Amino acid sequence: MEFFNTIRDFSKEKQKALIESRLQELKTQIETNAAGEILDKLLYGLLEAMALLFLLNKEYRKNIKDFTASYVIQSEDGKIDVSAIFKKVPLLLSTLDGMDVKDIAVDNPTTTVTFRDGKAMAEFLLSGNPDVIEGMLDNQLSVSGNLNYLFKFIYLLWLIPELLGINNFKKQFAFQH
Amino acid sequence: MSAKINEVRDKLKKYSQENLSAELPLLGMLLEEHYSQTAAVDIERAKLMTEHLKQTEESGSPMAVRRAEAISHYLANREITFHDDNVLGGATTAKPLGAPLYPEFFGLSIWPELGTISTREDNPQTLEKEEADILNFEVFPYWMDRTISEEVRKEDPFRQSLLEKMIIYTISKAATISHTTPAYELVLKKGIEGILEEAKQKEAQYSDDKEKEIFYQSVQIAVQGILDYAANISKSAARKAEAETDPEQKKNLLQIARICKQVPAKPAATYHEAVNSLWICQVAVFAENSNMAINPGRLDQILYPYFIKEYEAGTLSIEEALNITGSLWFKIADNVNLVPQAAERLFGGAGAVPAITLGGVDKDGNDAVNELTYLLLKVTELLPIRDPNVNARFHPDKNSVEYRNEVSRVILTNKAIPAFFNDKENIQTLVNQGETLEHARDYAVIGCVELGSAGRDYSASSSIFMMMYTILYMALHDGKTTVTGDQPLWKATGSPDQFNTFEEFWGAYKEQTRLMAQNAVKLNNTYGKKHQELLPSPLLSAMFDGPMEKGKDLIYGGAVYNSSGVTHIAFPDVCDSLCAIKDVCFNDNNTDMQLSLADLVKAVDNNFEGQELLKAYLKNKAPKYGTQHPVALEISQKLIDLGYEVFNSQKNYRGGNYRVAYWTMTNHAGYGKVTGALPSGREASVPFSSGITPVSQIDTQLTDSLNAVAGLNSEHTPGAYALNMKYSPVQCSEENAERFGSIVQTYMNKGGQQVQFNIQDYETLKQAKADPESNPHLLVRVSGYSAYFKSLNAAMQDELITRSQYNLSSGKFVPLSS
Repeated sequence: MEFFNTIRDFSKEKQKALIESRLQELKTQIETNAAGEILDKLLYGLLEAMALLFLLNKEYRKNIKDFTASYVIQSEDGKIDVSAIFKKVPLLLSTLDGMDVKDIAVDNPTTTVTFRDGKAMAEFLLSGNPDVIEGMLDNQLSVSGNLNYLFKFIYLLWLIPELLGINNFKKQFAFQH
Repeated sequence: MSAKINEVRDKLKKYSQENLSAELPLLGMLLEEHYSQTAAVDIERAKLMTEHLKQTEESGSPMAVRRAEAISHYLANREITFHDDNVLGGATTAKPLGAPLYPEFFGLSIWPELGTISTREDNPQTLEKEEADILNFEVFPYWMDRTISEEVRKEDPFRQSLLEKMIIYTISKAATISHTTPAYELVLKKGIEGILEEAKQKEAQYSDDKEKEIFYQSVQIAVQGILDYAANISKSAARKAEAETDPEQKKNLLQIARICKQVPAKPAATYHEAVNSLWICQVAVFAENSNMAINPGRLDQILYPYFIKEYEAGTLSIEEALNITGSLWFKIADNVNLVPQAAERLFGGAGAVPAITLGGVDKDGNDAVNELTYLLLKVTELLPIRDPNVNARFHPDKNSVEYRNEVSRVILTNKAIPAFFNDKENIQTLVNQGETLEHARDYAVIGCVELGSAGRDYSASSSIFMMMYTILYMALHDGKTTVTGDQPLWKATGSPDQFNTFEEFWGAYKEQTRLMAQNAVKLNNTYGKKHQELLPSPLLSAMFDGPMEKGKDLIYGGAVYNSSGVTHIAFPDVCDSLCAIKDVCFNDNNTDMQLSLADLVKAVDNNFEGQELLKAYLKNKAPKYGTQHPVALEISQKLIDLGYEVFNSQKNYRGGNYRVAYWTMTNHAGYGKVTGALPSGREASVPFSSGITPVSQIDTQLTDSLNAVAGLNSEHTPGAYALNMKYSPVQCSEENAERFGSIVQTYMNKGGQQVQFNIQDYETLKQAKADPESNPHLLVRVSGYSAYFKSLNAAMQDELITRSQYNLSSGKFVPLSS
């Protein structure tokens, strides 16, 4: 993710401030994209926010302690092609459990999710119903690779609006994280 | 009928649903509490088992031993709870109504829902934040690469990916080990200590045979967990009794403490001990196998010696027996399955479907109905609850008309339970499957409707779900499916314009069925092999006929019989579709409607858009299963024969048969909602018909409908079927019970295997859907199991509402007014 490179040489405090500022930007972008259903940007924004939240939020980072995996999220029409790679992220003096985002499909991912199209992806992300199986049953998405990794990924993804303080996602949480 | 049976029946007459709280206050109170409970996810087993398996990861011990240790660890360390005044000790989970989570199967599927499962729209299941965190941080990460499905994916990624397409086939081994009936009578007679001693001796005897030695070791480890669990219940009850100020409750707790100190460790001596012993064993089995269709079995036979001895000695009153038995009913109903949101759509509202079987004949072929049969029927009448799934066997030549009418009266009273099973047909079909006559006569119903010799057949009776819609779609589209791209999935069998006769098209349908069956069996057997590797079942093996003698775990074929089951979704709709194809596309004598198969397929694929006349003809004029139309009779039998032909010749991973069945749980509604139109005139997204039940709202008389089903060759449906009938409510008079029973008997005499009823009219069900709280405990038969109407999804509710309703007196079809 390009953003990592831009902050790598700054102090820890400055890095934190830049991440917070970028998250604010992403929050606005996600809200706008969700409302307007600008689909490809919505997904990338969510993933970038996820990657930054791992750096900033210790509680959230606990979810991926020593976790390594890679995901490709794509659409059948080829308009969406994004990868999320969980790995150690080197930043200044410390190396943290983190995640990188790429706008290409990486090789040999742990799990690949293919949405029928952007609309199917948006429906999945915004439906208020995070059920992967339901999406498969409705033929809105297909999965290849380990399903359990996808279950975890969706769980992590669904925490983001709450962590960013986005209220207009249709999802309601039963408890606060 | 013996004088003693009449005496018991007379004593039972005073109890009714109306006076339950007055005459049996304990059961009245337990019923109220049961109705007030909401399901909660139970993570205790997942946590303790995972904890132990992590610790032994590097131990080098065989999997059978590690798993036995983990089961034992859980049983010995689980929380003991007493939520109410139930007279039995032991509970499936620590929650009043628990949904145990099995991480080795499909438990991780609720990971995305950890934050929402408590508040989701359909059947929420409570999960505390702390519990969600334990799952998220401790339990689920361990299982990510170890679940049974992921292990199978490593072996056969292609067929596993087809399973995940959801509409090709379903293999239930991803979620459970088996559906079966343990031989609990072994424990009642020998006690767990007796079984433990036997295993010890056998281990010494086979010290030169490593496999057997490990098996007997694992049995000892696993059953020790049962002993520890029962001892803990006893101690907890005694401790709680000390602090209890209510004299009645104190007495009850002391009684539980005494009983659980005695059983299941030792042989049962009293009815109360026998019932509690059986219940603790059932709970223990849930520690090993998931809580799906593990069946208590023929309770009126297993518990009879204990009941009659005490009843005759005057140490057990009818009231006490009702309280003990009713307590068992509530215990059996203390758990549901944990299901992700989508599974709610497919299996929504189901309990754990533990089947109890009553009546029928004994091993020698004589009338097995006894005093306890009537007592258990009375409990079924008094307690209209979802589980247990009570089934009444009836042998038209051996059982009395009084018994038949009593079962009918109970159904008319509680409007849903029990289901009727025909001993004549079912015993014969099991004999045809290789069971001895004696063993076949001792069959118990498994889960929804399946059949198996009790305690001898380690049946995985719900192994494969065949999607008949998809098979027909493939036959109509040159082998392609809606979810696997532009190429034929298995084989191209011809496009619609290539078939010149119905027989040619039937050939394509047959071929696609054969290929689907072959591939589904292959995947199921891979799952079976993985179960052998990872999920040995020493605890259940100790409570079964065969494994202890052979020194072989059930999962390796230790049982006397080793069947697997294959059920079919959408049989009636596909049958009607084949009838329509024959009638409209390949019938020169049809002067009302003729078109090519290619044109018909085009209309179907467009969901009959702009083809109203065609749709109306297909719906109302084409031959229909459930009538006496010769085309429908011929094709329904052909389909049944085909299912049998393609599966009966195949062997499962334990060397047993695949038994073909036709029951659908809630799947027919869920899958109907996500599939396209059919040549029968059924539009897209409409629920399929349930089980083997003719499609709803066909204008046919009751007798025609019953005869159409009864005429099917039951030797070719050895896994049985669910026939759902709906009658307009009538007064529960002797006359109506007689009429009801005689219709059932006529159906059985003509060859019907099973039938179950809803005594409801369209309006009541419509009202219950519109205002769920107006009738919150409305109990209905779905397709093999019972459910509270309000807990079913909208598709299933609609399917129940539109099911054809018949007038019991006239036998006439009552059409649904719009």
